[in-house]
Amino acid sequence: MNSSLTLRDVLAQLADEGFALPDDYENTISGLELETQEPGAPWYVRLFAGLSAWIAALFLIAFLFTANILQEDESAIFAGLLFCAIAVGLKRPGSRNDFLEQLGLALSLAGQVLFVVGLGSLWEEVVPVALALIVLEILLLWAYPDILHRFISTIIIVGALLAIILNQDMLEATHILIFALSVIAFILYWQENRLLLTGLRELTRPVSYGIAVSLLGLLILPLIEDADVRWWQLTAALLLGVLLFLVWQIAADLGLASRSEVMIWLAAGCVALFIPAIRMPGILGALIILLLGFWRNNRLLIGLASVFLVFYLGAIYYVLEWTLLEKSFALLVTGLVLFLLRYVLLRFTEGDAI
Amino acid sequence: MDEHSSLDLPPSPENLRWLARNGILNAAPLRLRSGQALERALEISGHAPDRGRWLRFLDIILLVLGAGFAVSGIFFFFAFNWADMHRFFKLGLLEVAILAAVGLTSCLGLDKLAGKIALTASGLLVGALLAVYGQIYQTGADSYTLFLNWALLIAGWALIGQFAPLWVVWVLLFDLSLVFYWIQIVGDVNGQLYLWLFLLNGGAILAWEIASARGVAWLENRWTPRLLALPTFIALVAPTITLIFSSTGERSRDPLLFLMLALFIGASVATLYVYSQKILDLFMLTLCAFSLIIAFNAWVSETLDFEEFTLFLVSALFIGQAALIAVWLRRVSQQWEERSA
Repeated sequence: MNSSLTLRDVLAQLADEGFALPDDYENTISGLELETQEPGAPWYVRLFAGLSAWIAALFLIAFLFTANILQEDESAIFAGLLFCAIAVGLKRPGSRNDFLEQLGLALSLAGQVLFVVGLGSLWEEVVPVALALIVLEILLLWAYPDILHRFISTIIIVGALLAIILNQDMLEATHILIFALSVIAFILYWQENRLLLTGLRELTRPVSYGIAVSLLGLLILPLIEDADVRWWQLTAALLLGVLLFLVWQIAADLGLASRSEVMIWLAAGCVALFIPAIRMPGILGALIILLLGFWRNNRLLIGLASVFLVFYLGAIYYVLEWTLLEKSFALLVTGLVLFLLRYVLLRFTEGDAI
Repeated sequence: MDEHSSLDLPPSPENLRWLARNGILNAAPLRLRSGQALERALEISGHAPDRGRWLRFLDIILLVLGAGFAVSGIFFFFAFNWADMHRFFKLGLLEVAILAAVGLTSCLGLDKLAGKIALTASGLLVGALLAVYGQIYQTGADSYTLFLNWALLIAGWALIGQFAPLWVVWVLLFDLSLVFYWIQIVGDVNGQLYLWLFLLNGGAILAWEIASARGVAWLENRWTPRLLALPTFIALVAPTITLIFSSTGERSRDPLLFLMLALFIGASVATLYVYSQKILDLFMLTLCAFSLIIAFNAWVSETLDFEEFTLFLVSALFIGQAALIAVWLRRVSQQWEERSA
């Protein structure tokens, strides 16, 4: 990265390359009031705010029940919706009052829990409660413009969908859900810059993170023996398709011919990963997130995928469906194929960049 | 802000997105291929990978994944404990693998990533060798001896490797030795274990920061001390909460809990000072602040006997404290920006 570059240099180079810029862009820029470009709070500060809000929400709920303020199911539903409405009212776009933000977040989370608990006690059925929760979360996604809240809402929506699948005993639909999440994650990151121009990025950015985290979270299911979901090879095949399309798209971005030798070897590498992924599809999911992260210069995604991969390789030990010997051969062969692929790639690209 | 200062700003992703939002990067003919100019601008300014960076990334990812899969495969192979395989063959295979990895390190050199990864792989395989040895000869040794011997045997490699992941693995092996020793030998998790864990991880952070301040290149990354800060603060918060909720009799049986409380206060003051005044690290500040509010609110809950009002008060305290910390973190960050401007 050239640290001496300025916006002027970048715009000049764009113009040289034939990108059309407004004729008077220098005057336009000087006429605009440059916002203070803050990159936003780091992820761990948001995580801290989220954890604190969850703890505050749980204490608040405990207070409401132990003080007998909420005694009936209907009152919990009403209080839940009221808390969510107050939270939305407290959220002023553009304002920066940390106390109100934290209060709103805690109230909204408490409201959502009360809403689900109230409806659950009243209806005693999973599907309608989960559907009502999805509707509430979609409304909050639209009405509560907060990155952390939207991230949490996305994860809750995926959780509610999974609850419906498990409750209806449609376990194999989990593969479709995982595939859908991987496709949505791919599209959202692929189109990230176009979404910015449409003004949707404020909504899609936290949703993308929520989908990426949910995707990796669902891919832990194959490691759980009691999950009873079969045919993980189907998930592996679907994720392989997404991975190959992602690689093809990145290559197109870099101007590589789809039938070049490098592309063929890269595709072969992806297919090699299918061997361990038959039983451990999380490997492919993590790789998709890892590539999306690097493609979009998103260090948080890269870190998330890396931590998940380390966890996954360790957790595979406890998967009982394959013997240790089978897992050992699958991992060893994959490792050797990846080394071979690296050797071939470096040979093909000697003195060149891809 | 005048015209020149706007155009002379660095092309950060935020500034480029600001231009795009204001129509500079999506002028009329470009609308048809909206986003392309922004993507190209990000690429020119180094915020999107070009071919060279992709090649470097693929090189690293294939190397790391290949090593990760291969080493995991070797571990699983020996964990299978193939009965038909002679014990000398098992030990010989592992020794050959370690020698091969060390030989590779020697050939590639420690200045290359491939050499460092080969050294890390050999360090990990030493653990497999010790486990297989224990498996064959039924030594009956406790897990802590395995981790301790493993850590001691690879100490030299960890010190010469100049590779943060290997160094972290080395420290974590000592952590595991301590935890298993207390679980299997002492039979009770007490203040002494927390004290050792704090000294080990806190000492590792201190050593890292001092060496990093002296300009040692491989110690420049921030994730290593951050990672080590997690067990350090757990070792401080856990005994403090135990102390808060324990009876007088329990406290007198484990007087080190009071020492841990004092260390918690001292370490928190030092963390807040160092990472807000000497080195800007919001992660450390956030972690420290979160630890403090957990301990403080636990004390409030215990003091007020968890009555209904206490639950409401603690809820309000969490909201207020989190907001205050967010304001303070932003202020610290702004002060550093002003200082560096």
